[in-house]
Amino acid sequence: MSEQAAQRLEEELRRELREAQAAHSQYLSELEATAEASRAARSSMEEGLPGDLDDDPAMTVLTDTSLPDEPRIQVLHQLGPSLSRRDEFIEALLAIVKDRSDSPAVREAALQALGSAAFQVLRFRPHQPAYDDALHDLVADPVPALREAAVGILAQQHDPVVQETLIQGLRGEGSLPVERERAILLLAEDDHLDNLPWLRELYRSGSESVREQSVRFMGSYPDARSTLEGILRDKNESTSVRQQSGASLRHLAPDRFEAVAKEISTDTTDDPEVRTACLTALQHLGDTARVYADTEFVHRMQDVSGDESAPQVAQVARELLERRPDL
Amino acid sequence: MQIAMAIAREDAAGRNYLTWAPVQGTVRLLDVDAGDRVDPVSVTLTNDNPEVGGQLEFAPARDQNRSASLDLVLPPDGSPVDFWVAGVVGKPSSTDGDAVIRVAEAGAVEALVSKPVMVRIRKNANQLSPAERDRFTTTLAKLNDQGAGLFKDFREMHRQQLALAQAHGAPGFLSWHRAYLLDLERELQRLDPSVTLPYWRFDQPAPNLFTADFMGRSGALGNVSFSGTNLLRQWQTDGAAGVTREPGFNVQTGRANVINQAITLLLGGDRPNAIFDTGTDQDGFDEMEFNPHGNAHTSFTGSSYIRSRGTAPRDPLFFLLHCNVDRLWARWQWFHNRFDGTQPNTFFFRGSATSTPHTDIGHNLLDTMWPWNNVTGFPRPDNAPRTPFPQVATATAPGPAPTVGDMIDYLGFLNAQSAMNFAYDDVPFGVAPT
Amino acid sequence: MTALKRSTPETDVGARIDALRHLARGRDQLAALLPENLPIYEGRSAAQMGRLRGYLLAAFADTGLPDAALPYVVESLETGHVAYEVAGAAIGLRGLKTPAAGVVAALVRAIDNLSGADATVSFQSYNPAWPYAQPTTALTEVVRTIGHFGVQAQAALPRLEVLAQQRERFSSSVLEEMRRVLDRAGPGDGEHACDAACAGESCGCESAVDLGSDDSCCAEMASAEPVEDPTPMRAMLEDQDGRPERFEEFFRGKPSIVAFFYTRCDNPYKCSLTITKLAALQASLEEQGLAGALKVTAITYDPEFDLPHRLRLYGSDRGVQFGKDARFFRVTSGFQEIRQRFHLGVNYGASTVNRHQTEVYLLNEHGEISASFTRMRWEVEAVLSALEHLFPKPGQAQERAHCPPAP
Repeated sequence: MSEQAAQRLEEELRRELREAQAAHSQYLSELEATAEASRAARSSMEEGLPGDLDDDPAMTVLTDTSLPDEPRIQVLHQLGPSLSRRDEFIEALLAIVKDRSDSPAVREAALQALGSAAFQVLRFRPHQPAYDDALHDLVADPVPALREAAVGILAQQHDPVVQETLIQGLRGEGSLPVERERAILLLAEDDHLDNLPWLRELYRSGSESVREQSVRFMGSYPDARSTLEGILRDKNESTSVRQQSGASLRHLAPDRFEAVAKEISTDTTDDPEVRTACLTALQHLGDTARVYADTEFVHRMQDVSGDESAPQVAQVARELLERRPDL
Repeated sequence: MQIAMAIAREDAAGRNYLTWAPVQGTVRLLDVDAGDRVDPVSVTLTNDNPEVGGQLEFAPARDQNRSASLDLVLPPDGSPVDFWVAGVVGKPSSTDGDAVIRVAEAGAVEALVSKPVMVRIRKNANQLSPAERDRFTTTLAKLNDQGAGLFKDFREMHRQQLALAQAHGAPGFLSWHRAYLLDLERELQRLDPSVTLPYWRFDQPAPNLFTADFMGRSGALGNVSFSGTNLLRQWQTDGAAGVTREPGFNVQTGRANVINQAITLLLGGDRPNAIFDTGTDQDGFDEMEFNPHGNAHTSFTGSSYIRSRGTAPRDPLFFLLHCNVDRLWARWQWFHNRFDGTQPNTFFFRGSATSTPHTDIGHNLLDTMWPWNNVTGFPRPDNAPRTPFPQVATATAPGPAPTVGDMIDYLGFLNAQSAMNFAYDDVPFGVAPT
Repeated sequence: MTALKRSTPETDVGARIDALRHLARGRDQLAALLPENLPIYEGRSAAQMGRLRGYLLAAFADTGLPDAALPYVVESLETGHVAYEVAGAAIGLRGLKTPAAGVVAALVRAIDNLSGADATVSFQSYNPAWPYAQPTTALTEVVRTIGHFGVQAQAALPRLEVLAQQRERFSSSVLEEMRRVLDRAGPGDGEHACDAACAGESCGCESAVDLGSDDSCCAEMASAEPVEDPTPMRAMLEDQDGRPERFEEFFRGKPSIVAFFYTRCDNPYKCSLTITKLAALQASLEEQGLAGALKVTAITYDPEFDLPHRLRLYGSDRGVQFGKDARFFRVTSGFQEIRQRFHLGVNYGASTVNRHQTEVYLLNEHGEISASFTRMRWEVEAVLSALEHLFPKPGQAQERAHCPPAP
């Protein structure tokens, strides 16, 4: 019973721990060897580390730009947690991220580590301005992945400096640090900007995934209501985009969504997936009492529930009817 | 012959939800008119179907070993006889009521009474059945739609540093998030009592999680798409629809860039000997906040909601991520017997924010936790959007304004009154056998 | 100088600010640009508004800070959550030689608001490109301004001493600035010594220090212009439950408090706090047996987006108890009337609010504005005092507890 299960779990965990401890001990030996070689090389070139870091094999290896990527990234993976409590570790990460001559892979790993350290909010406070500065530096970095990461992080924070860079780039008044579609979507994360014209542009020209994103963000703009309704009704549009348009319409104008969703869900010529999405939303969300009070709609659901030419729709219709409150 | 069975902590509808923690029950004879009966009655408690559904085990006392059946002798005067029942580790329920306690007269086949219960456990999200998955996503989306529970509209809260500081960067991090998750789970269970929070085992591939039927399929430029029956399509936070998420790893074959479970449990102090030890300033808690917790967040690219501390809770995946963080803490507790908050290797800062030694407000053992404490004004934030902590019939803990320390003995191992009615599938009750 | 318009590019407005800062009467013309509801700010994004506000405030360091501009500076310090604006306000405050009441408290509050959110900014020019030639940070400027006032900011020094020891909280440059200010100030008198390790909720550090009295309520009441029998409003409202109301009909019969807000406000120190305080006011009235004395209401700036269900959630999440005389509204027609009647301190970008002040109004039983609490932090007690003063209960001697009667 539970005792046996606990025994098995304990044995399994203990085995994992032994393996992890053994692997870690081996790693520490290898790290020491790598650090020793690094120190020797630096001594011969008359370089050195600040005194208190010189004895630390992890910091020695992490900051040695002549080493291959792997041992340096492994420091972050194996020892990052214990290093994260030290200010000099954060400072070293910032230096790596800002050093354009350093390996892109190591810089990316350092950027991820900084992002993880930022979650230690109280501890990270003194470093916040320097971290933001590093991100702003990366906006013009030659490495695309770093540029994209930094622009994404800053845009999600509604950073006005990066927003202005993106806006100027979209207007052709400066260069865009990321591709145009991404720039529009990043600006769209801030609903206090004038994003609707660009979102419309994106909808006209983008792939299915991009169109889906554009209608998602349109859900923050009351002026987009009729556009969203049109897309939801558009049988030539993809299922996924129509579904998202419905969600955005429901966000902006739940009463209007309810009316349109009822029409679509009873339209046997329409896409079954879209009909399913409409019915699912109608029976679970918003003013469900009003939906069930619409006796004509409920009556039409009886027909839909028996229409085996659209089995998934029929199934959801049956669920809707089963959930009908007792009269 | 009629008998009655009752189990403590039933909800308003008379249903019981059990975990691995033993809960008290009683059985008694009902038909005892005018003292006609003179002989006691022997009965046996068992699982109604040992092959199907959640499984239970029984014992005559809380601290005794439990087994699949229990014999009791019921006095003829109808006095209740106590027993203790818990779920069997490794055999949780899949649906509400699929674990059935059967009471029959000793040696008889026919049941005198049967009581369906649920062994309700937090599971690995990648291993949920479609029905479990759909119940969870539907309920989460409904809660979100109502703007209820944790989804109360406090969009500006993510920008307030004081709010973030209540929960991060200091030792109360784990207690605070345990409370946060339990708050959400109780709100979910208000809508559907059979639902629990699943955990994202981020150190393993989880291909079933990142699908259109579950947490969403990621497309180009951070797009997250859902199937027609997945109500998470209707997700909205901070006045905006949907989720931005762009994984930095292959969600079908890869995993987040995190240290694995074993290494997590080795954090703190001088390795290789320290095992998630709290040391002199709770090193292990600190370190795990960086990795795996921080790295699980930052395994998604730049603009992903979950990547940044100010926007992370806008992605429903956030709750599954933190559920695993909490599970890791629970595993550590089980493995090393860390349930007594008064012990330094369970929690170092065992006083309040004015004790010596102390750490930041809200992170000492005796500190109440914002927002549930309804304390506002510096050094706490100006608002307290989630007070009091949800109280339920199925548990007596934590209270309406829990302290950091209140969250430690979550299974009621040291004190039965501390049990919070949640548990993880691979973290048993008690302490790991040595 | 050509008139500024809504179509004037942002950089040209910045250039105008630069021109004015060197003119003899520049400060008054700069002050005239402060109200957010000016036509030149229509259609601009919130980000633009933040940049313009920060740069404008900073300019007062060169011209001197006129009285008319002081509330704007204090507002940005008390409620600013973006580093650039807070830095601009702190710099502009150096246009004063003597800190006015409440200013030092506002500077200390800005440090608390922004720790963890400090950032590098620059006022070397309007909207300079990165990297900055003359970088600074918001907290550096705030501390520098405390130093600027020298002995007149003495009351803030014990708190600054505590903060200067919190190495885990501030960057090294901010700590250095704190140390510079403290070293220049010299040893304190020890009267307000604070436990440096004090971090508790009731450590008393703040309460032990008098950072200036808050007479804002008096200033707001004294400046409220009596409105003489205004033209009846035709505006229509819809409440949090979707019920229609006419403005004129609802806001009659008893006094009302009206707060303006919108649910998409990103600033934790503005709308969210305003409505939280409105709920606290409602609770105070209930406790004092005055629940029926006042209608408790709020109106959204964003009627197209803030549908009834959003109004209801926003209010109830913050503790508002809705009822017959406690309602939140969106304006379904006639918003311009409302905007003009209240001279609302708000403006709009392409789709929603781009900037607004905190604004709460007391209306009499005819719907006329009797008092206003605008721009700076308002407290529940101040509103209760005003209520008592303006609308005393029949037969009750008017208690002059707090504010002089309006002129």
